[in-house]
Amino acid sequence: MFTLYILILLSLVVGVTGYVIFMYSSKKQQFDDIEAPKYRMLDDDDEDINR
Amino acid sequence: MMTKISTDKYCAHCNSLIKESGSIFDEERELYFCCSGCNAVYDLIDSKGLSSFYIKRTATDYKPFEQIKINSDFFNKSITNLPEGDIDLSIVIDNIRCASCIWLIERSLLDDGRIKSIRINYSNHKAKIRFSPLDISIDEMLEIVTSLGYCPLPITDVLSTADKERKDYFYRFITALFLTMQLMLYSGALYTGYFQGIEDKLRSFFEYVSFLLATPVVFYCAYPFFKNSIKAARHRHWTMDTLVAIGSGTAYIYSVVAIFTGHETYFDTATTIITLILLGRFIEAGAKQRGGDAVSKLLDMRPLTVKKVLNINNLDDVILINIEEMKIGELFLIEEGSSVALDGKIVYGESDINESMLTGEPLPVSKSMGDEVYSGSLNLSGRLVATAIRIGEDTFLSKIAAAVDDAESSKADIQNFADKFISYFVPTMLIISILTFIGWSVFSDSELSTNIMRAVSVIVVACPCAMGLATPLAIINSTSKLMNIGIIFKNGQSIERMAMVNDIYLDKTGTITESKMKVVDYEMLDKYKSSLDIIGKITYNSMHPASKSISNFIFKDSEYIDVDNSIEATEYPGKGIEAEVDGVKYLIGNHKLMKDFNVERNSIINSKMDQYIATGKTVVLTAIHNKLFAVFAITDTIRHEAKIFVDQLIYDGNKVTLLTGDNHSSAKYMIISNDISIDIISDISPFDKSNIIDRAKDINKTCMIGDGINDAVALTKASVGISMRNSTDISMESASAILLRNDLTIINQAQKICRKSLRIMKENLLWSFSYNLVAIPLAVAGYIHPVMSAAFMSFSSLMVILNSSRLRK
Repeated sequence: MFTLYILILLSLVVGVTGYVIFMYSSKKQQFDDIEAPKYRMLDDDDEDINR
Repeated sequence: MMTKISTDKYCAHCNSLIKESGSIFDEERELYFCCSGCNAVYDLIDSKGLSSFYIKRTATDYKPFEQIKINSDFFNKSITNLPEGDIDLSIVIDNIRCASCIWLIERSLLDDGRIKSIRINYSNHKAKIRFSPLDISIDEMLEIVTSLGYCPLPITDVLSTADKERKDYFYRFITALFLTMQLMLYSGALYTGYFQGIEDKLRSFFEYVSFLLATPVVFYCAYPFFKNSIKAARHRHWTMDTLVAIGSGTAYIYSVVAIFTGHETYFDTATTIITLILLGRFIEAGAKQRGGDAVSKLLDMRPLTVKKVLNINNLDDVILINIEEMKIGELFLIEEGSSVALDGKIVYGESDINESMLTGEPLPVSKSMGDEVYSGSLNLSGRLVATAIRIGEDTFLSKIAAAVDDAESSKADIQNFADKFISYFVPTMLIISILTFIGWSVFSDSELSTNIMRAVSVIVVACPCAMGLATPLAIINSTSKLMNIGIIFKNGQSIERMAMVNDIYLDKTGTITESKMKVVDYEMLDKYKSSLDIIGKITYNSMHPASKSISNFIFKDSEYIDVDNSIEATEYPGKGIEAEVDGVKYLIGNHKLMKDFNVERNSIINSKMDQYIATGKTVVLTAIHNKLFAVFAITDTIRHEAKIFVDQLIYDGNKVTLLTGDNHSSAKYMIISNDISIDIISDISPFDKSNIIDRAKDINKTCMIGDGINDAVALTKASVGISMRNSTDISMESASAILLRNDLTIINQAQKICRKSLRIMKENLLWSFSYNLVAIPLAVAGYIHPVMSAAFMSFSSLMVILNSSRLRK
C-alpha cells in the first residue's frame, strides 16, 4: 500500500514539473518563434571552423 | 520582381553582374557564373533536383542598401530599464529577408562585444537587445545595424487585446487540461472501485487527491466564468457564463460536501465541463482574431517612419523621422520598392503604384506629378517625392481601417433577436433545471447525487454559446472578405439588408458612366463668340462633371486659367447654373433651366439641339440676356463592365432601373447602343430619385447605387445605398456601403457574399436552436451525463465556427 502512495506522489511531482516547465517556457516566449530555430543549426560560426 | 532588359549578364547563382575576366559560361545550360564557387553551388543544388530554388527565391534584389541616419530619440519609448542598470531595447528590423540576415545581425552585434544579448524573432522581425548604457550608446548600436543595410524601427511592446484574451484562455485551458487528465486517473480508480469494491482508506485518499486537483481548475481556470456571471448578475442579467458557472460550481460544491458525507464525488464532471468550454472559448477567440486581422493587416502596411526631404533639389538630403513627426505640406521621399507612409500629392517623379491592399485593384496604377498617393500602397518602379496632404487618422488607410472596425463590431438585426432570446432563455433554463431536480427527487427513487447531476446536465447542455456566436462570426468574416474584393459595408445590418435586395436603382452619370465627360461638338451664334471665355470661367468654378467638361473644352489650349472667384453663381441641382458677370446674366444648363427662366428660343440652336439629342448626346444650353446663344454636345463614356454588371444583376434575380436627369432619348440611345437591357426613368431631379425609391414595391428590398454627393438623398432613402468612390472621403454618411474602386462588378460579388452570409447566419441560428430543442429534453429526461453535455455544447459552438469560416473562402 505504501508503494502506491509513493507512486501517486511521484506521478504528481513528475506531471507538475512538466506542466511548470511548459508554462514557464511559454511565458518566456519560447514558442513565439517556431520558424527561426530550424535555420539556426545551419548557421556555422566561422571561428569554430578555423580553429 | 523587375526584369531588366539589357545585354548585361548576371550570375545564375548570386545574381551579380558578370565581368569578362574570371567568369564561366556553361554552354549546355546557357548559364553564366561569376566564379567557380557559384558554379559549384549551382551544380550542387541542381544535382539534388532543387534548381527551382532560383525561381522560388523572392529576395532577388541584391543591390546594396542605402545607409540611413537614425535619430535615437524615437527609440525612447522602446526602452525598458532593467534593475541591474541594463537596458532592453525592443525594435523591429526592416529589410530582413531570410534566416541568414538574422544570423548576420546577431553575429555582428555580439562580436562587437559590448552587447549582452540579442534575439531576433524570424516570424515578425522583432528584436530584443540587452546592453548596458555604460558600454555602448543606442546610437552606436543602431549604427551597427544600419551599417549592415538594415533599418531598425522603434516599437512598443504591447499586445492587442484580442491577442491577450486568446493567450489568457490558452493558459487557463492548458492548466485545466493538465489537471483534468491527472484527475481522470483517480476518477477511473474510484469508478472501478464503486463496482468492484475499494478499501475505504484508499477511496478517501483518492477523493482528497481529486479535490486537490479540481480546486485550481474551479478557482483559476473557471475564474472568468464566475467573474462575468457575478458582474452580469449585479445588473440582473443572465449570460452564458452564468450557466457554465452554476453548472460546474454545483458539481464542485456537491463533491466537496460528498467527501465528508461519504457520497460519490463528481470532481471530474466539474473540471471536464470547464476544460471543454475553455477549449471552445480558445477556438472562438482565435476565430475572432483571425477575422479581425483585416484591420491590423491594413494598419501593418503603413510604415512607421518616413524620409523627410529637406531640400527638393537634393534628394539625398533626407532624414528618417517618425511618421507622427510629419506635418501637412512637408515633403517626403518614397523609394522604389517601399511603402508609401502618408497620403500625398506627387511633386516629382513617376512610378507604378500597387494599391491592391487598399482598393482590391490587382493591376498597378501609374502615377506622376499631381496625382495622389495613398498611405499603405506600394511604390513599384520609381523614386517619388510627395507633399503630405493627409496624416494620422485622416489618411485613406486609417479611414478604411476605422470603417471596417466599426462594421465588424456591429450587430445584424437578426442577432438582436437572438440576444433577446438568450436573455429570456438563460433564466428559463435555470428554472427548468431546478424543476428537473425537484421532479426527479419527487417522482423517482434515484439518489440525490444522480438528480443533482441531471440538473447540472440541463444547465450545461443549454448554454447558448452557439447562439451567441451565430452572427458575429459571420459578419466578421464577410466584412473582411468584402473589403478584400473592394467594398466596405457600414455595419452588419447593411450586409443583412443587401442580402434581401432585389430592386436596384442606378444613377447614370458617374455610376454606369465614367463621369469623364467630353464636349464633342458645339454650336454658337457668331456675335457672342467673345462670351465663350466667360462661360468657361463660370463653369470652371462648378463641381458638376458637365461644367468641368465645358471648362476643359474652352480652356484646352491655354496653359494658365485666369480664375475669377468673384463670379456670383447659383446652382440649381439637376438644372444648371445662373450667374452674373459684369451685370450680364448668364444661364448655363439643360432645357428645364431655360424653361424656368422663360428663355427665348433660337431656331439655329434648337434645331442643333434636337440633332444632338437624337444621337444620344447630353446637351448643355447657354443663354445671355435670356436668349439662347450656344449649345454644347457632351458625351460620357460608359463603363466597360456596365453590360456584364447589369446582365449579372438581372440573372441574379434583380429588377434594375436606371435613373437619370438627362432626357429620355439620349439616355435610351446610350443604353441601346451598348446593348444593355434596363428600364429607364429620365428627366428627373435628384429629389425625384428618392421619391421613386419611396414608391418602390417593397422599400426594404431597394438598393440605390450612385455617387455620394448628388444622390445623397436617394442613397439614404434606399434600404442599401452603395456609393461610388469619388474621393478619399469614405465617411459613410449617406451610403451604407462604399466601393473602394470604381468597378461595378464588385457589387455583383458583394451581393453574392451578402446573400451567402445571411444564409450562413440563418443556418447557424437554426442549428443552435434545433440543437437545444433536441438536447434539453434529453437532459431533462436524464439521458445525458454532464460531461457529455459539455462536449455537446462545445461541439455545437464548433459547428457554428466552422460554418462561418466557409465565408472566408
